[in-house]
Amino acid sequence: MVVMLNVSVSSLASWTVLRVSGEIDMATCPQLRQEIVGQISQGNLQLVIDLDAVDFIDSTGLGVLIGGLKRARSQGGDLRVSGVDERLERIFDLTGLRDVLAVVDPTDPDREVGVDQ
Amino acid sequence: MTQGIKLVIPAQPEYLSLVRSVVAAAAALDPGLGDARIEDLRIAVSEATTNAIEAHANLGSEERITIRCDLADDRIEVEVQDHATTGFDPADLEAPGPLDAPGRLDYEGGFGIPLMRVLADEMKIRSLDHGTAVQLVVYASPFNKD
Repeated sequence: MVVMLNVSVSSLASWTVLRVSGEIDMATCPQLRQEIVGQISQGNLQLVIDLDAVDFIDSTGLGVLIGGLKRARSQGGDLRVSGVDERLERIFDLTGLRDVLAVVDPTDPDREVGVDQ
Repeated sequence: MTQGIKLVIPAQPEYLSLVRSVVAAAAALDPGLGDARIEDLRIAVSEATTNAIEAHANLGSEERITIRCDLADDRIEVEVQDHATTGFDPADLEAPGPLDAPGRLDYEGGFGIPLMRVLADEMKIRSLDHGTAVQLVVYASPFNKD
């Protein structure tokens, strides 16, 4: 059984955008972690994880986002998220992640926004 | 009347997606459960199954994990049972401190149990002789807490 997460990488001003599609769980999170770690080790410290095409995320996936945030910040960078719908926002709120992870405009990651309606 | 299904899976992460799909499809048979509650259940079941897979991996167990899904008139009950020989004590799994607490970012786990507690209407963890059973209950309306 092959489980795939698709991650496409693009640049936007000083930001590196990782657009993720699929389901982020224990099966796929190593792939996302590897992508994030790879970008940071290449010196791309300003990361946006776009979750617009993510159908599912659980606590394992949230752990990867926290790990990425910590790693980016420890090197003077940052990790933000975009494409957060109401469903994902609820999970962010319930876990307190909303307080530490900035949700930004996917076309302008310097701008923090509310949630997609 | 109660109707139900039973799913027995290898303790491997690749099967999580299948478990979520089957439980969500079963829950959708209950007209009293809205999409938001089915989503809650989908996440809670994924968390419980992830914990079961981890428990098996930690012990190198080749046993399978059983997911039972019972549809009653007023609720859906899902039980995830692992067969890892050492049951865990739920008291060991209290939520870590607030995310903005100093050092909290050092710890990437610990969201699973608190998430299950808030997403399901009821959650019970039982230690068995050979494993652990997590029971998750979501009520159909009018007890629907949405």
